[in-house]
Amino acid sequence: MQNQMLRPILPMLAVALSLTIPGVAFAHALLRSAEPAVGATVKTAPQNLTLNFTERLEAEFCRVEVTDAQGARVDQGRVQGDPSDGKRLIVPLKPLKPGVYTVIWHAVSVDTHKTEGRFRFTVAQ
Amino acid sequence: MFRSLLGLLPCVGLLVPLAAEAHVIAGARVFPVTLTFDDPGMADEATLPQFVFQPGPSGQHQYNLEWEYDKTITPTFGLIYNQGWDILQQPETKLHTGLENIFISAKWQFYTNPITETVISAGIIREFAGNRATVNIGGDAYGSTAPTLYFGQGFGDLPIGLLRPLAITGEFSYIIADRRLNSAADNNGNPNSVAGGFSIQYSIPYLQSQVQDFGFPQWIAGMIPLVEFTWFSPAEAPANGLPATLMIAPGVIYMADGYQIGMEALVPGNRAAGPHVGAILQVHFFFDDLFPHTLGAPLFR
Repeated sequence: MQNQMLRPILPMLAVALSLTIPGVAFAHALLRSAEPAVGATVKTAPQNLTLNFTERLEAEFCRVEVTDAQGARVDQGRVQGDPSDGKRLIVPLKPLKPGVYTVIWHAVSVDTHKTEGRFRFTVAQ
Repeated sequence: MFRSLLGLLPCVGLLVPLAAEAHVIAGARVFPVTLTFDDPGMADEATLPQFVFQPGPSGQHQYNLEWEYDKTITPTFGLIYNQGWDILQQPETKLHTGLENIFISAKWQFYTNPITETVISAGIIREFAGNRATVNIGGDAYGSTAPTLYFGQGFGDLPIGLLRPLAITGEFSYIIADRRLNSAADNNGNPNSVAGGFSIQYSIPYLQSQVQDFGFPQWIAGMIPLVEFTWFSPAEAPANGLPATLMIAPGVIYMADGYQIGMEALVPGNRAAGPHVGAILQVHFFFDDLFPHTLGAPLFR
């Protein structure tokens, strides 16, 4: 009998719990744009790679690797957050020669959700 | 879902189950919420609402207003509630209206590989039989239970860049009827059945962020053109007037931060699926993005 009385209350309890438990967020940081742009060919070698995401990031937990056609790292091994824009990552680069470069990014949003992706850009001859 | 409509409408195209479901992310791949069948993931979200228009033969029409709520219990397991309110319109006949049967699904997203952009889930879909009003608008008089498998696969590894935004998703269910149809065909039962869905999608957001930024305006950059296929077939005799049906739904989904809007045509894929083209429109909210600390979070981690 008690179980029958509780049955209609359980869904309401579940909703109430979801509202009160300090939850883990699951918003995902997806790449909105980049500079150099995704797939772009640029005439001048950039000094930095800039990545703009859809969510605010935990910059210290984000990783970005930039490699040349031979697979050698051309980034300086660090990722900086932008103090004026929490959705932006800045990656200092070594001097780039003409060629095709691959960017592999792993992002962690402020609510700890992980996303990743890759793209290429080209520095023209 | 709509089998009892056979007594009201000779339009077995209405047999195709239409349910809007959840989205999922694997690596850089976002699988949108498909409109005519469930997608491979489990997340906190809601369809509010979905409109379906299905014209039948000889001036008969069906209008559905549907809704859904998905709640994660853990990050990969949750419950899904689906229901709707239907209007059946026939010339020179009283309008029939009523609530659809309630569907509750338990779903477990047990495999997610962000590198290969693969997602696989398993679930159980339980249809709870409705009341007289539900039967009046075509709901089953008896419920059913459907073990279901879901998958999603992105093609981000393809060597041709412009093909990398492609992805497919699918669903396959074996529907076990609570009351089996017998050869007399007058016991209101159903045959056990198979039902499935398949989609092929081209993600412009993926194109823009992973392959080539063409500088599209946002209203184009958020679009995912797709074609969905859904089918239904009795799994065993006697089928008693329940032929296999195929529905093809070409359309587009616009993905935004926190919500999506989808619109598709409902094109009968065979004669049994109906004589005319219908339409479906869906507005879907991602609670995990909109309310990440309350409604959008799993109950237990």
